Amino acid sequence: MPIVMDHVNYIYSAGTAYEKHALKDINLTIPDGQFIGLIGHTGSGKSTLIQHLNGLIKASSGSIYFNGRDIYDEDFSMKNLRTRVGLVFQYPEHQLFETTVVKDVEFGPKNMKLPKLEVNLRTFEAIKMVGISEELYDASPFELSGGQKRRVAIAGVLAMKPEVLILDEPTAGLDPMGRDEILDQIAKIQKEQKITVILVSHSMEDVAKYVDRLIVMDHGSVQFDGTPKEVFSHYKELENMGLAAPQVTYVMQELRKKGFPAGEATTVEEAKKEILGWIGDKRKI
Amino acid sequence: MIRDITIGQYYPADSVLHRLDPRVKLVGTLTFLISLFLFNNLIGYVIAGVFLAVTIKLSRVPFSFIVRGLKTIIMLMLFTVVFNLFLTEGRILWQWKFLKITVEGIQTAVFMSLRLTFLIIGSSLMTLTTTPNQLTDGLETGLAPLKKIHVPVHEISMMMSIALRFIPILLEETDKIMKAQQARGADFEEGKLVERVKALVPVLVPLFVSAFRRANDLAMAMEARCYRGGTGRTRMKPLKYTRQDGMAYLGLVVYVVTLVGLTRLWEMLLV
Ligand SMILES: Nc1ncnc2c1ncn2[C@@H]1O[C@H](COP(=O)(O)OP(=O)(O)OP(=O)(O)O)[C@@H](O)[C@H]1O
Ligand SMILES: [Mg+2]
Repeated sequence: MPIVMDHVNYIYSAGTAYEKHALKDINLTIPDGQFIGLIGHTGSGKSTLIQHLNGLIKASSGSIYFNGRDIYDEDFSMKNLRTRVGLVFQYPEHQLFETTVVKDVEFGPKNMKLPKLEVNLRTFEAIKMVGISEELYDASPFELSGGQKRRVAIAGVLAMKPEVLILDEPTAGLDPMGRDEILDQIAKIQKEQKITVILVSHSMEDVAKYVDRLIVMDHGSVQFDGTPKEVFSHYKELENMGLAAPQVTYVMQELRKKGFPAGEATTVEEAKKEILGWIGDKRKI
Repeated sequence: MIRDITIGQYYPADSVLHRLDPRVKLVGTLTFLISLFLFNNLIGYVIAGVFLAVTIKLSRVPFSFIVRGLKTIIMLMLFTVVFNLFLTEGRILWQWKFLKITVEGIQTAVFMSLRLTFLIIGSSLMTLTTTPNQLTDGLETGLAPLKKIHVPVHEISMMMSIALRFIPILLEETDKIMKAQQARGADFEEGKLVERVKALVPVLVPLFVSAFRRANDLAMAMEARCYRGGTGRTRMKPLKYTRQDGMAYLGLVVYVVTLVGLTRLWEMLLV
Protein backbone atom coordinates (compact mmCIF):
# COMPACT_ATOMS: atom_id res chain seq x y z
CA MET A 1 0.00 0.00 0.00
CA PRO A 2 1.64 3.24 -1.05
CA ILE A 3 2.19 5.94 1.54
CA VAL A 4 2.32 9.60 0.56
CA MET A 5 3.58 12.40 2.78
CA ASP A 6 2.38 15.79 1.62
CA HIS A 7 4.02 18.94 3.02
CA VAL A 8 4.45 17.41 6.46
CA ASN A 9 5.84 19.58 9.24
CA TYR A 10 6.37 18.57 12.81
CA ILE A 11 7.22 20.74 15.80
CA TYR A 12 8.03 19.26 19.20
CA SER A 13 6.70 21.12 22.27
CA ALA A 14 5.22 23.88 20.14
CA GLY A 15 4.71 27.14 21.98
CA THR A 16 7.26 26.53 24.72
CA ALA A 17 10.89 27.47 25.23
CA TYR A 18 11.87 23.96 24.10
CA GLU A 19 10.23 24.28 20.70
CA LYS A 20 11.94 22.17 18.03
CA HIS A 21 11.06 22.15 14.37
CA ALA A 22 11.95 18.50 13.74
CA LEU A 23 10.45 18.00 10.27
CA LYS A 24 10.35 20.68 7.61
CA ASP A 25 8.06 20.33 4.61
CA ILE A 26 8.51 16.63 3.91
CA ASN A 27 7.14 15.35 0.60
CA LEU A 28 7.68 11.66 -0.03
CA THR A 29 6.00 8.85 -1.88
CA ILE A 30 6.67 5.33 -0.70
CA PRO A 31 5.47 2.83 -3.30
CA ASP A 32 4.89 -0.89 -2.70
CA GLY A 33 7.73 -3.36 -2.48
CA GLN A 34 10.65 -0.94 -2.25
CA PHE A 35 13.61 -1.44 0.06
CA ILE A 36 14.32 2.08 1.28
CA GLY A 37 17.24 3.32 3.35
CA LEU A 38 16.86 6.41 5.52
CA ILE A 39 20.06 8.05 6.67
CA GLY A 40 20.99 11.29 8.37
CA HIS A 41 23.10 12.45 11.26
CA THR A 42 21.97 12.22 14.88
CA GLY A 43 18.96 14.43 15.49
CA SER A 44 18.15 14.96 11.81
CA GLY A 45 14.58 13.75 12.31
CA LYS A 46 14.64 10.14 11.09
CA SER A 47 12.84 8.65 14.06
CA THR A 48 10.33 11.49 14.00
CA LEU A 49 9.64 10.91 10.33
CA ILE A 50 9.01 7.19 10.58
CA GLN A 51 6.66 7.59 13.53
CA HIS A 52 4.44 9.66 11.27
CA LEU A 53 4.06 6.76 8.88
CA ASN A 54 2.05 4.65 11.33
CA GLY A 55 0.32 7.56 12.98
CA LEU A 56 2.15 7.51 16.32
CA ILE A 57 2.95 11.19 15.87
CA LYS A 58 0.43 13.52 14.34
CA ALA A 59 1.89 16.03 11.91
CA SER A 60 1.72 19.68 13.01
CA SER A 61 0.68 20.48 9.45
CA GLY A 62 0.41 18.62 6.17
CA SER A 63 -1.24 15.31 5.35
CA ILE A 64 -0.35 11.67 5.03
CA TYR A 65 -2.18 9.26 2.75
CA PHE A 66 -2.15 5.52 3.17
CA ASN A 67 -3.44 3.76 0.11
CA GLY A 68 -5.02 7.02 -1.01
CA ARG A 69 -6.87 7.67 2.26
CA ASP A 70 -6.04 10.52 4.58
CA ILE A 71 -4.91 8.91 7.84
CA TYR A 72 -6.08 11.92 9.85
CA ASP A 73 -9.70 11.39 8.75
CA GLU A 74 -12.09 10.85 11.67
CA ASP A 75 -13.17 7.39 10.51
CA PHE A 76 -9.70 6.16 9.63
CA SER A 77 -8.65 3.36 11.96
CA MET A 78 -5.20 4.07 13.39
CA LYS A 79 -5.12 0.64 15.01
CA ASN A 80 -5.56 -0.96 11.64
CA LEU A 81 -2.87 1.27 10.15
CA ARG A 82 -0.43 0.28 12.86
CA THR A 83 -0.81 -3.41 12.14
CA ARG A 84 -0.24 -2.80 8.45
CA VAL A 85 2.71 -0.47 8.90
CA GLY A 86 4.92 -2.31 11.39
CA LEU A 87 7.46 -0.24 13.26
CA VAL A 88 10.36 -1.67 15.23
CA PHE A 89 11.84 0.88 17.59
CA GLN A 90 15.47 1.67 18.24
CA TYR A 91 15.50 0.01 21.67
CA PRO A 92 13.99 -3.46 22.09
CA GLU A 93 13.90 -2.83 25.87
CA HIS A 94 10.95 -0.55 25.20
CA GLN A 95 8.65 -3.29 24.05
CA LEU A 96 9.62 -6.59 25.67
CA PHE A 97 7.45 -7.29 28.69
CA GLU A 98 6.15 -10.85 28.70
CA THR A 99 7.46 -13.81 30.64
CA THR A 100 8.56 -15.80 27.61
CA VAL A 101 9.77 -15.02 24.12
CA VAL A 102 6.81 -16.75 22.48
CA LYS A 103 4.27 -14.90 24.59
CA ASP A 104 5.93 -11.61 23.80
CA VAL A 105 5.83 -12.19 20.06
CA GLU A 106 2.17 -13.20 20.37
CA PHE A 107 1.25 -9.76 21.71
CA GLY A 108 0.85 -8.13 18.28
CA PRO A 109 -1.28 -10.79 16.57
CA LYS A 110 -3.38 -11.16 19.73
CA ASN A 111 -4.14 -7.46 19.66
CA MET A 112 -5.37 -7.95 16.12
CA LYS A 113 -8.00 -10.34 17.57
CA LEU A 114 -7.00 -13.16 15.21
CA PRO A 115 -8.12 -16.74 15.89
CA LYS A 116 -5.86 -18.67 18.24
CA LEU A 117 -4.53 -20.98 15.56
CA GLU A 118 -3.58 -18.08 13.32
CA VAL A 119 -1.85 -16.35 16.24
CA ASN A 120 0.26 -19.44 16.94
CA LEU A 121 1.07 -19.92 13.29
CA ARG A 122 2.23 -16.34 12.80
CA THR A 123 4.16 -16.33 16.05
CA PHE A 124 6.28 -19.35 15.22
CA GLU A 125 6.71 -18.28 11.64
CA ALA A 126 8.00 -14.88 12.77
CA ILE A 127 10.31 -16.33 15.39
CA LYS A 128 11.79 -18.69 12.80
CA MET A 129 12.22 -15.88 10.30
CA VAL A 130 14.45 -13.87 12.61
CA GLY A 131 16.54 -16.91 13.48
CA ILE A 132 15.83 -17.43 17.17
CA SER A 133 16.76 -20.96 18.15
CA GLU A 134 14.25 -23.29 19.71
CA GLU A 135 15.74 -23.49 23.20
CA LEU A 136 15.06 -19.77 23.62
CA TYR A 137 11.31 -20.02 22.96
CA ASP A 138 10.50 -20.24 26.65
CA ALA A 139 13.32 -18.04 27.91
CA SER A 140 12.50 -14.71 29.52
CA PRO A 141 13.09 -11.87 27.05
CA PHE A 142 15.01 -10.06 29.77
CA GLU A 143 17.65 -12.79 29.94
CA LEU A 144 18.56 -12.54 26.26
CA SER A 145 21.59 -10.82 24.80
CA GLY A 146 21.19 -7.48 23.03
CA GLY A 147 21.16 -9.07 19.58
CA GLN A 148 18.65 -11.72 20.60
CA LYS A 149 16.40 -9.10 22.19
CA ARG A 150 16.40 -7.17 18.95
CA ARG A 151 15.47 -10.26 16.98
CA VAL A 152 12.57 -10.95 19.31
CA ALA A 153 11.46 -7.32 18.96
CA ILE A 154 11.54 -7.63 15.17
CA ALA A 155 9.64 -10.92 15.33
CA GLY A 156 7.01 -9.21 17.49
CA VAL A 157 6.28 -6.83 14.63
CA LEU A 158 6.71 -9.35 11.81
CA ALA A 159 4.08 -11.56 13.44
CA MET A 160 1.49 -8.94 12.52
CA LYS A 161 2.41 -9.49 8.84
CA PRO A 162 2.75 -5.80 8.06
CA GLU A 163 2.75 -4.63 4.47
CA VAL A 164 5.32 -2.01 5.34
CA LEU A 165 8.10 -2.83 7.78
CA ILE A 166 10.02 0.04 9.32
CA LEU A 167 13.16 -0.63 11.32
CA ASP A 168 14.82 2.09 13.39
CA GLU A 169 18.51 1.24 13.52
CA PRO A 170 18.01 -2.50 13.86
CA THR A 171 21.74 -3.16 13.92
CA ALA A 172 22.91 -0.65 16.53
CA GLY A 173 25.08 -2.39 19.08
CA LEU A 174 25.41 -5.65 17.19
CA ASP A 175 28.59 -7.44 16.17
CA PRO A 176 29.34 -7.53 12.41
CA MET A 177 28.13 -11.13 12.15
CA GLY A 178 24.85 -10.46 13.87
CA ARG A 179 24.39 -7.33 11.82
CA ASP A 180 24.79 -9.12 8.50
CA GLU A 181 22.56 -11.95 9.68
CA ILE A 182 19.71 -9.66 10.64
CA LEU A 183 19.97 -7.54 7.52
CA ASP A 184 20.21 -10.61 5.25
CA GLN A 185 17.13 -11.96 6.92
CA ILE A 186 15.26 -8.71 6.44
CA ALA A 187 16.30 -8.55 2.78
CA LYS A 188 15.09 -12.12 2.35
CA ILE A 189 11.75 -11.39 3.97
CA GLN A 190 11.39 -8.30 1.81
CA LYS A 191 11.93 -10.29 -1.39
CA GLU A 192 9.83 -13.27 -0.42
CA GLN A 193 6.83 -11.41 0.93
CA LYS A 194 7.19 -8.43 -1.41
CA ILE A 195 6.73 -5.99 1.44
CA THR A 196 8.06 -2.46 1.66
CA VAL A 197 10.98 -2.07 4.04
CA ILE A 198 12.29 1.20 5.41
CA LEU A 199 15.63 0.84 7.12
CA VAL A 200 16.96 3.64 9.29
CA SER A 201 20.69 3.28 9.58
CA HIS A 202 23.94 5.03 10.34
CA SER A 203 25.98 2.60 8.30
CA MET A 204 26.56 3.62 4.72
CA GLU A 205 27.92 0.17 3.89
CA ASP A 206 24.69 -1.45 5.08
CA VAL A 207 22.36 0.76 3.13
CA ALA A 208 24.49 0.62 -0.01
CA LYS A 209 24.41 -3.15 0.07
CA TYR A 210 20.70 -3.67 0.58
CA VAL A 211 18.48 -0.79 -0.47
CA ASP A 212 16.97 0.24 -3.83
CA ARG A 213 16.40 3.80 -2.77
CA LEU A 214 18.16 6.06 -0.34
CA ILE A 215 16.68 9.07 1.44
CA VAL A 216 19.02 11.49 3.16
CA MET A 217 17.77 13.73 5.94
CA ASP A 218 19.51 16.82 7.22
CA HIS A 219 18.19 19.18 9.88
CA GLY A 220 14.63 18.00 9.43
CA SER A 221 14.38 18.09 5.65
CA VAL A 222 15.03 15.64 2.85
CA GLN A 223 18.28 16.50 1.11
CA PHE A 224 18.71 13.63 -1.34
CA ASP A 225 16.40 10.95 -2.59
CA GLY A 226 17.53 8.42 -5.20
CA THR A 227 19.39 5.20 -5.81
CA PRO A 228 22.44 4.65 -3.59
CA LYS A 229 24.68 5.34 -6.61
CA GLU A 230 23.08 8.70 -7.29
CA VAL A 231 23.12 9.71 -3.65
CA PHE A 232 26.69 8.65 -2.97
CA SER A 233 27.93 10.53 -6.01
CA HIS A 234 27.21 13.60 -3.84
CA TYR A 235 29.73 12.41 -1.28
CA LYS A 236 31.13 15.94 -0.87
CA GLU A 237 27.76 17.30 0.26
CA LEU A 238 27.21 14.23 2.42
CA GLU A 239 30.47 14.96 4.21
CA ASN A 240 29.32 18.49 4.90
CA MET A 241 26.26 17.01 6.59
CA GLY A 242 28.44 14.88 8.82
CA LEU A 243 27.82 11.76 6.77
CA ALA A 244 30.04 9.88 4.36
CA ALA A 245 29.85 7.56 1.40
CA PRO A 246 30.86 3.89 1.73
CA GLN A 247 34.62 3.32 1.87
CA VAL A 248 34.76 1.75 -1.59
CA THR A 249 33.35 4.89 -3.14
CA TYR A 250 36.47 6.70 -1.95
CA VAL A 251 38.74 3.91 -3.19
CA MET A 252 37.22 4.14 -6.65
CA GLN A 253 37.53 7.92 -6.47
CA GLU A 254 41.24 7.67 -5.75
CA LEU A 255 41.73 5.15 -8.50
CA ARG A 256 40.05 7.48 -10.95
CA LYS A 257 42.32 10.31 -9.88
CA LYS A 258 45.30 8.08 -10.58
CA GLY A 259 44.02 7.64 -14.13
CA PHE A 260 42.41 4.24 -13.89
CA PRO A 261 39.12 3.85 -15.73
CA ALA A 262 37.24 3.19 -12.46
CA GLY A 263 33.49 3.75 -12.55
CA GLU A 264 31.12 4.38 -9.68
CA ALA A 265 30.69 1.65 -7.11
CA THR A 266 28.96 1.66 -3.74
CA THR A 267 29.53 -1.90 -2.56
CA VAL A 268 32.64 -4.06 -2.43
CA GLU A 269 30.98 -6.53 -4.80
CA GLU A 270 30.42 -3.85 -7.45
CA ALA A 271 33.93 -2.54 -7.05
CA LYS A 272 35.34 -6.01 -7.47
CA LYS A 273 33.43 -6.55 -10.68
CA GLU A 274 34.42 -3.16 -11.97
CA ILE A 275 38.12 -3.60 -11.22
CA LEU A 276 38.27 -7.17 -12.48
CA GLY A 277 36.53 -5.89 -15.57
CA TRP A 278 39.20 -3.44 -16.61
CA ILE A 279 42.09 -5.60 -15.41
CA GLY A 280 40.73 -8.22 -17.77
CA ASP A 281 40.57 -5.68 -20.59
CA LYS A 282 44.18 -4.69 -20.11
CA ARG A 283 45.28 -8.28 -20.29
CA LYS A 284 43.50 -8.58 -23.61
CA ILE A 285 45.35 -5.54 -24.94
CA MET B 1 0.97 13.83 25.05
CA ILE B 2 2.36 12.65 28.35
CA ARG B 3 5.30 14.98 27.98
CA ASP B 4 3.02 17.96 28.36
CA ILE B 5 2.56 17.19 32.03
CA THR B 6 4.52 19.86 33.81
CA ILE B 7 5.65 19.37 37.36
CA GLY B 8 7.56 22.24 38.83
CA GLN B 9 8.55 23.31 35.38
CA TYR B 10 11.60 25.47 34.84
CA TYR B 11 11.53 28.27 32.30
CA PRO B 12 15.03 29.09 31.07
CA ALA B 13 15.67 32.82 30.79
CA ASP B 14 18.31 35.30 31.83
CA SER B 15 16.84 37.52 34.49
CA VAL B 16 17.61 38.97 37.89
CA LEU B 17 15.23 36.49 39.43
CA HIS B 18 16.91 33.53 37.74
CA ARG B 19 20.28 34.64 39.04
CA LEU B 20 19.19 35.09 42.63
CA ASP B 21 20.49 32.71 45.25
CA PRO B 22 17.96 29.85 45.62
CA ARG B 23 17.87 30.46 49.38
CA VAL B 24 16.57 33.96 48.77
CA LYS B 25 13.88 32.60 46.52
CA LEU B 26 12.90 29.92 49.02
CA VAL B 27 12.67 32.40 51.88
CA GLY B 28 10.99 34.93 49.62
CA THR B 29 8.33 32.53 48.42
CA LEU B 30 7.62 31.34 51.92
CA THR B 31 7.37 34.92 53.18
CA PHE B 32 5.08 35.88 50.35
CA LEU B 33 2.79 32.91 50.93
CA ILE B 34 2.55 33.64 54.64
CA SER B 35 2.08 37.36 54.03
CA LEU B 36 -1.07 36.58 52.04
CA PHE B 37 -2.75 35.51 55.26
CA LEU B 38 -1.83 38.63 57.20
CA PHE B 39 -4.58 40.85 55.89
CA ASN B 40 -8.10 40.83 54.62
CA ASN B 41 -8.76 44.17 53.00
CA LEU B 42 -8.41 45.82 49.64
CA ILE B 43 -5.17 47.70 50.25
CA GLY B 44 -3.45 44.45 51.23
CA TYR B 45 -4.39 42.80 47.94
CA VAL B 46 -3.22 45.85 46.04
CA ILE B 47 0.20 45.77 47.71
CA ALA B 48 0.62 42.01 47.29
CA GLY B 49 -0.54 42.34 43.67
CA VAL B 50 1.95 45.09 42.93
CA PHE B 51 4.76 43.09 44.55
CA LEU B 52 3.84 40.04 42.48
CA ALA B 53 3.56 42.07 39.28
CA VAL B 54 7.02 43.55 39.81
CA THR B 55 8.50 40.10 40.46
CA ILE B 56 6.84 38.69 37.34
CA LYS B 57 8.22 41.58 35.32
CA LEU B 58 11.68 40.96 36.73
CA SER B 59 11.51 37.23 36.00
CA ARG B 60 11.13 37.70 32.24
CA VAL B 61 8.84 34.66 32.12
CA PRO B 62 5.97 35.30 29.68
CA PHE B 63 2.73 35.96 31.53
CA SER B 64 0.88 33.36 29.45
CA PHE B 65 3.31 30.75 30.74
CA ILE B 66 2.67 31.68 34.34
CA VAL B 67 -1.09 31.65 33.94
CA ARG B 68 -0.89 28.11 32.58
CA GLY B 69 -0.27 26.91 36.10
CA LEU B 70 -3.66 28.25 37.11
CA LYS B 71 -5.50 25.82 34.85
CA THR B 72 -4.98 23.04 37.36
CA ILE B 73 -6.90 24.83 40.10
CA ILE B 74 -9.75 26.23 38.03
CA MET B 75 -12.25 23.76 39.52
CA LEU B 76 -11.16 24.52 43.07
CA MET B 77 -11.43 28.18 42.30
CA LEU B 78 -14.98 27.86 40.91
CA PHE B 79 -16.06 25.97 44.03
CA THR B 80 -14.72 28.63 46.36
CA VAL B 81 -16.30 31.40 44.34
CA VAL B 82 -19.71 29.71 44.14
CA PHE B 83 -19.80 28.74 47.81
CA ASN B 84 -18.70 32.12 49.05
CA LEU B 85 -20.93 33.96 46.65
CA PHE B 86 -24.16 32.24 47.61
CA LEU B 87 -23.64 31.18 51.17
CA THR B 88 -22.25 34.28 52.87
CA GLU B 89 -24.64 36.13 55.18
CA GLY B 90 -24.93 39.92 54.94
CA ARG B 91 -26.61 42.74 53.06
CA ILE B 92 -28.70 41.09 50.36
CA LEU B 93 -28.36 42.27 46.76
CA TRP B 94 -30.33 39.61 44.92
CA GLN B 95 -32.39 36.64 46.07
CA TRP B 96 -34.08 33.63 44.49
CA LYS B 97 -35.61 31.14 46.95
CA PHE B 98 -32.81 30.09 49.28
CA LEU B 99 -30.07 31.43 46.99
CA LYS B 100 -28.91 34.92 47.72
CA ILE B 101 -26.02 37.12 46.74
CA THR B 102 -24.74 39.51 49.37
CA VAL B 103 -22.26 42.36 49.29
CA GLU B 104 -20.08 40.46 51.74
CA GLY B 105 -20.42 37.33 49.59
CA ILE B 106 -19.09 39.10 46.51
CA GLN B 107 -16.26 40.54 48.54
CA THR B 108 -15.20 37.20 50.04
CA ALA B 109 -15.50 35.43 46.68
CA VAL B 110 -13.30 37.99 44.95
CA PHE B 111 -10.78 38.08 47.80
CA MET B 112 -10.60 34.30 48.09
CA SER B 113 -10.01 33.76 44.39
CA LEU B 114 -7.41 36.53 44.39
CA ARG B 115 -5.65 34.91 47.30
CA LEU B 116 -5.67 31.51 45.59
CA THR B 117 -4.35 33.02 42.36
CA PHE B 118 -1.57 34.81 44.24
CA LEU B 119 -0.66 31.61 46.08
CA ILE B 120 -0.34 29.58 42.91
CA ILE B 121 1.45 32.25 40.89
CA GLY B 122 3.78 33.02 43.77
CA SER B 123 4.90 29.44 44.20
CA SER B 124 5.07 28.63 40.49
CA LEU B 125 7.23 31.70 39.99
CA MET B 126 9.84 30.07 42.19
CA THR B 127 9.91 26.77 40.27
CA LEU B 128 9.81 28.62 36.95
CA THR B 129 12.96 30.56 37.74
CA THR B 130 14.91 27.99 39.74
CA THR B 131 16.26 24.72 38.38
CA PRO B 132 15.48 21.69 40.54
CA ASN B 133 19.17 21.36 41.28
CA GLN B 134 19.45 24.91 42.56
CA LEU B 135 16.35 24.35 44.61
CA THR B 136 17.73 21.31 46.39
CA ASP B 137 21.07 23.08 46.79
CA GLY B 138 19.28 25.94 48.42
CA LEU B 139 17.34 23.61 50.70
CA GLU B 140 20.46 21.74 51.70
CA THR B 141 22.42 24.85 52.53
CA GLY B 142 19.48 26.55 54.13
CA LEU B 143 18.67 23.59 56.34
CA ALA B 144 22.31 22.82 57.18
CA PRO B 145 21.91 23.89 60.83
CA LEU B 146 19.51 20.99 61.31
CA LYS B 147 22.45 18.61 60.88
CA LYS B 148 23.32 19.41 64.47
CA ILE B 149 20.22 17.59 65.60
CA HIS B 150 21.03 14.64 63.31
CA VAL B 151 18.63 15.37 60.49
CA PRO B 152 20.17 13.78 57.34
CA VAL B 153 19.87 17.00 55.36
CA HIS B 154 22.32 16.05 52.64
CA GLU B 155 20.75 12.65 52.04
CA ILE B 156 17.28 14.11 51.89
CA SER B 157 18.22 16.77 49.39
CA MET B 158 20.23 14.29 47.32
CA MET B 159 17.20 12.01 47.12
CA MET B 160 15.06 14.96 46.21
CA SER B 161 17.30 16.11 43.41
CA ILE B 162 17.61 12.60 41.98
CA ALA B 163 13.84 12.14 42.12
CA LEU B 164 13.28 15.49 40.41
CA ARG B 165 15.82 14.62 37.76
CA PHE B 166 14.14 11.29 37.09
CA ILE B 167 10.61 12.62 36.61
CA PRO B 168 11.13 13.92 33.08
CA ILE B 169 13.29 10.93 32.14
CA LEU B 170 10.65 8.46 33.24
CA LEU B 171 7.90 10.45 31.55
CA GLU B 172 9.83 10.36 28.31
CA GLU B 173 10.47 6.66 28.74
CA THR B 174 6.76 6.02 29.34
CA ASP B 175 5.99 7.90 26.16
CA LYS B 176 8.43 5.78 24.15
CA ILE B 177 7.22 2.50 25.64
CA MET B 178 3.60 3.40 24.99
CA LYS B 179 4.45 4.14 21.39
CA ALA B 180 6.36 0.88 20.99
CA GLN B 181 3.34 -1.07 22.28
CA GLN B 182 0.90 0.96 20.22
CA ALA B 183 2.98 0.01 17.20
CA ARG B 184 2.09 -3.58 18.07
CA GLY B 185 -1.60 -2.81 18.22
CA ALA B 186 -1.94 -2.03 21.92
CA ASP B 187 -4.90 0.21 22.67
CA PHE B 188 -4.88 2.54 25.66
CA GLU B 189 -7.90 4.62 24.79
CA GLU B 190 -10.72 2.19 24.24
CA GLY B 191 -12.28 -0.65 26.16
CA LYS B 192 -13.78 -1.20 29.59
CA LEU B 193 -12.00 -0.28 32.77
CA VAL B 194 -10.64 -3.80 33.31
CA GLU B 195 -9.29 -3.90 29.77
CA ARG B 196 -7.67 -0.52 30.15
CA VAL B 197 -5.97 -1.52 33.38
CA LYS B 198 -4.78 -4.70 31.68
CA ALA B 199 -3.46 -2.65 28.79
CA LEU B 200 -1.10 -0.93 31.21
CA VAL B 201 0.86 -4.11 31.96
CA PRO B 202 2.87 -3.96 28.72
CA VAL B 203 3.84 -0.40 29.65
CA LEU B 204 4.54 -0.84 33.34
CA VAL B 205 6.77 -3.89 33.02
CA PRO B 206 9.35 -2.31 30.69
CA LEU B 207 9.07 0.93 32.67
CA PHE B 208 9.91 -0.74 35.98
CA VAL B 209 12.66 -2.79 34.42
CA SER B 210 14.19 0.33 32.98
CA ALA B 211 13.72 2.36 36.19
CA PHE B 212 15.50 -0.29 38.23
CA ARG B 213 18.25 -0.56 35.67
CA ARG B 214 18.70 3.20 35.67
CA ALA B 215 18.75 3.36 39.45
CA ASN B 216 21.31 0.61 39.54
CA ASP B 217 23.47 2.27 36.91
CA LEU B 218 23.28 5.57 38.72
CA ALA B 219 24.27 4.01 42.04
CA MET B 220 27.24 2.33 40.36
CA ALA B 221 28.29 5.51 38.61
CA MET B 222 28.11 7.41 41.90
CA GLU B 223 30.15 4.79 43.71
CA ALA B 224 32.66 4.68 40.88
CA ARG B 225 33.17 8.38 41.51
CA CYS B 226 33.66 7.74 45.21
CA TYR B 227 30.38 9.13 46.47
CA ARG B 228 30.21 8.50 50.21
CA GLY B 229 27.32 10.62 51.42
CA GLY B 230 27.48 14.13 52.75
CA THR B 231 30.25 14.08 55.36
CA GLY B 232 33.27 16.11 54.31
CA ARG B 233 31.80 16.78 50.89
CA THR B 234 32.57 20.17 49.40
CA ARG B 235 30.89 21.89 46.50
CA MET B 236 32.16 22.94 43.15
CA LYS B 237 29.88 25.95 43.20
CA PRO B 238 29.21 26.82 46.84
CA LEU B 239 26.22 29.07 47.31
CA LYS B 240 27.35 32.59 48.11
CA TYR B 241 25.23 35.61 48.80
CA THR B 242 25.93 38.54 46.51
CA ARG B 243 24.88 42.17 46.67
CA GLN B 244 21.88 41.32 44.53
CA ASP B 245 20.71 38.82 47.15
CA GLY B 246 21.09 41.43 49.85
CA MET B 247 18.96 43.83 47.82
CA ALA B 248 16.38 41.12 47.34
CA TYR B 249 16.18 40.48 51.08
CA LEU B 250 15.86 44.21 51.61
CA GLY B 251 13.05 44.37 49.05
CA LEU B 252 11.33 41.56 50.87
CA VAL B 253 11.55 43.34 54.22
CA VAL B 254 10.23 46.54 52.64
CA TYR B 255 7.34 44.58 51.18
CA VAL B 256 6.38 42.98 54.50
CA VAL B 257 6.69 46.23 56.46
CA THR B 258 4.64 48.18 53.91
CA LEU B 259 2.04 45.47 53.80
CA VAL B 260 1.61 45.15 57.55
CA GLY B 261 1.87 48.90 58.16
CA LEU B 262 -0.57 50.01 55.48
CA THR B 263 -3.14 47.33 56.16
CA ARG B 264 -3.16 48.19 59.89
CA LEU B 265 -3.42 51.89 59.11
CA TRP B 266 -6.27 51.25 56.69
CA GLU B 267 -8.18 49.27 59.31
CA MET B 268 -7.64 51.94 61.93
CA LEU B 269 -8.91 54.64 59.58
CA LEU B 270 -11.99 52.64 58.66
CA VAL B 271 -13.03 51.93 62.25
N1 LIG C 1 10.14 13.82 22.43
C1 LIG C 1 10.83 14.87 21.98
N2 LIG C 1 10.62 16.12 22.49
C2 LIG C 1 11.29 17.18 22.02
N3 LIG C 1 12.20 17.12 21.06
C3 LIG C 1 12.47 15.93 20.50
C4 LIG C 1 11.80 14.74 20.94
N4 LIG C 1 12.26 13.70 20.21
C5 LIG C 1 13.17 14.22 19.37
N5 LIG C 1 13.31 15.55 19.53
C6 LIG C 1 14.19 16.44 18.77
O1 LIG C 1 13.82 16.38 17.40
C7 LIG C 1 14.96 16.26 16.58
C8 LIG C 1 14.86 15.03 15.72
O2 LIG C 1 14.93 13.89 16.54
P1 LIG C 1 14.90 12.40 15.99
O3 LIG C 1 14.79 11.50 17.17
O4 LIG C 1 13.85 12.29 14.96
O5 LIG C 1 16.34 12.27 15.34
P2 LIG C 1 17.03 11.00 14.66
O6 LIG C 1 17.37 11.39 13.28
O7 LIG C 1 16.19 9.80 14.85
O8 LIG C 1 18.36 10.87 15.50
P3 LIG C 1 19.17 9.55 15.94
O9 LIG C 1 20.00 9.17 14.79
O10 LIG C 1 20.01 10.04 17.08
O11 LIG C 1 18.18 8.51 16.36
C9 LIG C 1 16.16 16.26 17.52
O12 LIG C 1 16.73 17.54 17.48
C10 LIG C 1 15.61 15.98 18.87
O13 LIG C 1 16.31 16.70 19.84
MG1 LIG D 1 16.40 8.00 16.00
